Amino acid sequence: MIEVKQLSKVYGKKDTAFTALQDVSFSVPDGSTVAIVGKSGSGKSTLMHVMSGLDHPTSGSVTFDGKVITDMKPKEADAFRASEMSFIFQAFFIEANRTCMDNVMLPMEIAKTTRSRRQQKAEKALEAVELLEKRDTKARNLSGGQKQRLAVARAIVNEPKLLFADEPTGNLDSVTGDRIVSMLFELNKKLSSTLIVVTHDEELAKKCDMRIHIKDGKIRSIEEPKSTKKGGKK
Amino acid sequence: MSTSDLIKRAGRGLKSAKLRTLLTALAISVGGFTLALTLAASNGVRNYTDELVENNFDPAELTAARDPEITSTGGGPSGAPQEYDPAIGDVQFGDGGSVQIKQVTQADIEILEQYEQIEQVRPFFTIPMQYVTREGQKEYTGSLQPYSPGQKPELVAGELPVDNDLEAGSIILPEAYLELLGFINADEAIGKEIDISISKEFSFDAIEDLLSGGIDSEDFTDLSVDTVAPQEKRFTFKVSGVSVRPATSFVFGVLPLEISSEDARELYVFANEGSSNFEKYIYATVKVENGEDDAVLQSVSEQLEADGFYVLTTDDIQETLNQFVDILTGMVFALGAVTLIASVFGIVNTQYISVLERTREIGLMKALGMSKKNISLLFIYEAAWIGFIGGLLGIIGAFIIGTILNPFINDALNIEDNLIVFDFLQLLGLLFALMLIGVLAGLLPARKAAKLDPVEALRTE
Ligand SMILES: Nc1ncnc2c1ncn2[C@@H]1O[C@H](COP(=O)(O)OP(=O)(O)O)[C@@H](O)[C@H]1O
Ligand SMILES: [Mg+2]
Repeated sequence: MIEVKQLSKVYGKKDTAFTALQDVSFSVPDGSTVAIVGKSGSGKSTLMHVMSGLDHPTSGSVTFDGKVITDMKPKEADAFRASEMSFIFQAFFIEANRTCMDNVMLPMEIAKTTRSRRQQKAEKALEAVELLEKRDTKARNLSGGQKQRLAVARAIVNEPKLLFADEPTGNLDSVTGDRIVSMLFELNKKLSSTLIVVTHDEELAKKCDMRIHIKDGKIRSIEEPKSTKKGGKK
Repeated sequence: MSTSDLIKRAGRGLKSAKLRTLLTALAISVGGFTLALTLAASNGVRNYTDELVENNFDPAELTAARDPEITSTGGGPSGAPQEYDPAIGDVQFGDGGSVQIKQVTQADIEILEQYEQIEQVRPFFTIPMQYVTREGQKEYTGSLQPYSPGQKPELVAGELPVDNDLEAGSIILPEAYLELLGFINADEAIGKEIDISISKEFSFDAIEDLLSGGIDSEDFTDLSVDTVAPQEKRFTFKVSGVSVRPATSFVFGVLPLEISSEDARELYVFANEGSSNFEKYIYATVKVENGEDDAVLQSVSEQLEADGFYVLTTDDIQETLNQFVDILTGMVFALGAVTLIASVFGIVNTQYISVLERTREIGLMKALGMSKKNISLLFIYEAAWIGFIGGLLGIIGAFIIGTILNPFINDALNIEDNLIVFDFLQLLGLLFALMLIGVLAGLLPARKAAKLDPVEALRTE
């Protein structure tokens, strides 16, 4: 269960102050898929950054299974992210000069996964995104869709409880994008992890259990499955 | 992230920018090359000077003088003019400048001889040899000196006594005279007789004797002008050895002929008796019993100093030589250090660019939970790798060049032992130091990487 309480984020000070998030509250049950929907500049990425502890909120808190991420010291937050979360970005952010294998190894090195298990886990992750035959190919030689699949493999290799995807299909054509999306949903079921997708694509949003619409840093509406009673804006 | 993972990842990071890494490493390799070669050359030169001292000086011997200038190794006579002391005999150098040197007198020699630990005292004197010749041959110039068992000459023929002085009447002839004196080869010269001509100066003392006491003397008739006039006398010696110049020799020019101390003394007396400087020496060489033992030598040297002598040991000489070598080494070393400083800026620059280029990568690593410390370490290890690669290249280069140069240097200087001597531990230390320099250069860029805001980094598209 992820609980976001009265989260606000103000960039800059005084004259230049800009409120990117204002009083955002909601909760996400474990294992669900969530879409954060809104136009460009509405604060979706900011919300994701603050939720993951990468950025600090001006006020409010984020609690993950009872642990208050927003109160954690940087070191704790780092360790927490390494073991519990993962990310996929619109611009892939893969290491272009390294092999696919090397890219997938990174989160395991950071999370200090036992050395003997790394190879097998990496192969499994590459297999899941159908890139196993490209294991020794340099990432820069992959197509856009393959790059994003590699990013997915890297994101799931540690079997995180929470996966953030910031406009994962933004740089891809619709066919390739759909393939990535279906992969993400499949993996979410298989790993029973929570998936939070930031998107302005309504099609993609519809596939999610829960949709949080934001505009100008504020929640406009939350659509959630009837089975979930808790959470939401009160 | 574990240290080994970080080091490996840092290495792979460099591999992905091979050319840049290599160029930056080359900058540091220049410094590494200079330092490695300097260290090796300094090792070799030190070995060489050690050998030089060993071959030219007996470690059991001391030089004892009455004047501090003689034993001073601090770079020549002091600049200031000194007060004239009539008690000190005049020693004139060259064109007659007045330099006073307090000399060692016969009384001092006797003091030295009374020391229990002193085996032998050899006052330093010069014998005014005119020429050397052989029956039926021309006359040739040269210098003559007493044989010293501590500085044995290298022989191509004949034999030297194991420990003692040369036999009276024998002479060591330098190879250069063989042909001049009509010998076919060195072996032929052994046992043959040669003549040394010594001149005796015009003696004022003798004139005084003649004019004062001499007139009343009964054996006045024995006195003649011949007694006081400059004289020339030939002494005959038997060749007992033929010497060649050793590779490590202090003597430039023609080697001296060597005779026993006893004979040398006789010739000295003949040449100098009656002159004002007779039995006054600039210094005396003293052989100390068991003087190879530093402690023994030290204690004798202290006693001598208490007796008012100024003492110079082989160690002092060696130290002076080493100081000289150290200064030269230091200068080249400083040059290497300067190139290293330049390469430090190279590394700083490369790593800064690398950090800027990899803003997204750093952002991603932070998002994936890599701590600031590890991000910083990743870049520091990269810089250490650059230092390692550069250092290794420089050291290997120095090793190759040194190995190639050694035979040429040996040939040119006519020496047997290499003048460029690589020491594995030293090179390892150097490599480590260069890695450390890499680390130092990498600190600032690494700090920048660690401080990078991941959110900013992830926003860049
Ligand atoms: N460091 C910053 N300083 C000031 N404004 C910022 C900063 N970062 C983001 N913003 C602003 O906050 C708003 C929300 O940005 P973002 O969360 O990236 O939007 P989205 O992801 O929905 O497109 C934008 O208007 C953006 O310009
Ligand atoms: Mg965004």
